[in-house]
Amino acid sequence: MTTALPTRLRDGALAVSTSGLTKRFGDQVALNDVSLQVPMGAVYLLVGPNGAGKSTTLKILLDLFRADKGTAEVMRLDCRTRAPEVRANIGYVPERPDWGYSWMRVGRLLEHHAVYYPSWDASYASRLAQKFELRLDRKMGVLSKGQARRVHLTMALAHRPPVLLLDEPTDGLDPLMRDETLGVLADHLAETETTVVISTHHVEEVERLADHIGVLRNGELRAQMSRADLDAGLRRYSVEVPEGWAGAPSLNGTVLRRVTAPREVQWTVWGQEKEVAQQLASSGGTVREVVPLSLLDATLALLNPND
Amino acid sequence: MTSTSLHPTPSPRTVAIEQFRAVGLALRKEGIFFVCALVVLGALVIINAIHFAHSHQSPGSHMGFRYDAAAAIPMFLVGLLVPFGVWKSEDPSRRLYHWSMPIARGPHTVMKLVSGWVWLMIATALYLLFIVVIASSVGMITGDPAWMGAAPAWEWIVAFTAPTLGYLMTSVPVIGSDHPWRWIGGVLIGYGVLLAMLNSFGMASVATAIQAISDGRYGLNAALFGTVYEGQRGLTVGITRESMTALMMSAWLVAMPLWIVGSAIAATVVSYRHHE
Amino acid sequence: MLISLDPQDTRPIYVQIVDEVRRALVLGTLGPDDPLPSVRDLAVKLRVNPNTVSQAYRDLERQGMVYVRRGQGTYAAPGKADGSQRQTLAEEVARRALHDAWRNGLTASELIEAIRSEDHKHPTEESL
Repeated sequence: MTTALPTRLRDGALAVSTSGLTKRFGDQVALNDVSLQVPMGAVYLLVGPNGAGKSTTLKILLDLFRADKGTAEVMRLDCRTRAPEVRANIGYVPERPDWGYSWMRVGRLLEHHAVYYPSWDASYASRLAQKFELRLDRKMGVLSKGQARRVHLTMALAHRPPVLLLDEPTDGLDPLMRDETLGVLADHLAETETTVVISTHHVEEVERLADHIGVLRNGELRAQMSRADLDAGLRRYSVEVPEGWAGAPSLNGTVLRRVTAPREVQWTVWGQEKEVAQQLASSGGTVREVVPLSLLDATLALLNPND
Repeated sequence: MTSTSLHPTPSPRTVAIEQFRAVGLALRKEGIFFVCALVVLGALVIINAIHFAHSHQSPGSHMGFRYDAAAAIPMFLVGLLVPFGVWKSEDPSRRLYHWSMPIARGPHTVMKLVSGWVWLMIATALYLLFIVVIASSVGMITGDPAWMGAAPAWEWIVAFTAPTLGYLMTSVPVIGSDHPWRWIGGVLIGYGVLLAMLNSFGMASVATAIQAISDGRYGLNAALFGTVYEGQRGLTVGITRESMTALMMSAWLVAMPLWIVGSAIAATVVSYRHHE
Repeated sequence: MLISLDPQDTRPIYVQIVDEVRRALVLGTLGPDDPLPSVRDLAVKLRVNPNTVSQAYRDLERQGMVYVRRGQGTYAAPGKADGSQRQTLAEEVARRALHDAWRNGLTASELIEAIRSEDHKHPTEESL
């Protein structure tokens, strides 16, 4: 295992891939050399704070935005030159709730959407509408954020696209509906061969679905790896150290966080557990605990190193 | 894992039909209002005609209707407003839904543009039908056989081309900008102010040259209604109605296609422009 | 058999599912030849990725705790609620206790001593 944070996955068929994406809005850099790799069939969590470039990345995949540099592919189709085909293979849930015609009724909007997707599964759509408790006779414009999100989820799932791009899919949902949504997504994954990219800053809500993670910060992809790699490589070490212990050992790993107390130090380290523990022990400390991190804690550590 | 088969894009024909239906739905309220307005107007005219027929039938007085190009003015105004209905709540910064559909953005936008135009033409046909029905009813009620006058064919076609031109011209800022009213207002006011300034600075000749855009031989007014102005007639004395309409037609015949093609190109260009 | 996941548990989810099934076998809530929930049903119930459930079931099959009838589903293997599974489970509990003891600066013998005296004070059903 390398000791630097991985930003490239091992080889394999990719459903979504970008290479060196760079996007500026004026003099603000939204994305800087982002190379995303989403394997076929993965549930890929794209995490990062607001403004990290998550939505921008998804919009480039849909050719809603165009990158200044770099290329993007979905199902091996170039997002720029074959945009309509790319979009035919994507179910998209946008971050903004004002998607779809505000003057149209929900039921009519679903019919409208169906026309654009020849693979639309009408019976699945009505099952989803029932699960999401959609009120088909209401106008889109009067819906709350959560209600609109549920309509958008129905629109995205009902044509069973090879790729789902979900931008903050649980945002605005009440706890009950959020839980229902996660169930619907689990069911969808079991039934349909789908690759999912979920952009979110609510990691804990979708963590049980995710098997890959990419961490964006200030437009840069800090880390990208499978959940298995993350589970294997990231640990928090609690070490008892002698009073006045000075020497920080040179660790064969990437130290993401270091919290110190008078006779105790906590390290969050990306590296091989045995090696790191041994190095900590041989420097005079007593390793009291080595624990894996929850995905949320892992994300926080990857986002805010050294604080 | 087996390779997932790719999903097809929709056929442009089904999308075009659906766009036509969706735009119809978007314009439904306005359409109902339009029909109601025609019905009320028609009722008023007929009541007036009945009243006329039953009261002072003094010789020389008559109530009649003569169709000419000016009858296209109401539909021209409707044409100016229809783009706002077609693209309601869909200015460029809120057009994400339209753009994220699995069809190329340019043609998709043009489809919507054309859909709105077809509905406008349907409304125009309805309007002309209304005129014919009302005029013939009035003719029957008042016993005046020459109920329509004898407008040449091109003046009937104006009823379709004038709203078309109006529709295309406002479609350009509506499709292209988040603030179409600013553009429309800006152009109108700018044009007026420019002319006024040129005139007041003693550059009347330049002003006249620029004013040709609206009032010239091939200007906007000629394109819309075949309107020709004093200076351009060539004949000022002893002009007959027949020669006058012939003159108007020849001006219109050149100006109209020029302006329609021009604004259609502009509308297509803004439709194909990539907005972010 | 009811499977539930502890949100505080940071071990991989498939490991947690395997442990839950093992526990059910030992407790007898999952009897021999009883069907396990389908991958889809369990994934929906736990709100986890179906691949994770499949992975757990494959692991269980590899360990011989369940068997698969083609096209029908996954079933608990007979004769698995025996000593060896109890042993594995006991080891897992012991590992957790030891881990906790070590974290608290206790030695293994201190822990064992404490377990004995606690068991004496509050006898469990089994030791009665």
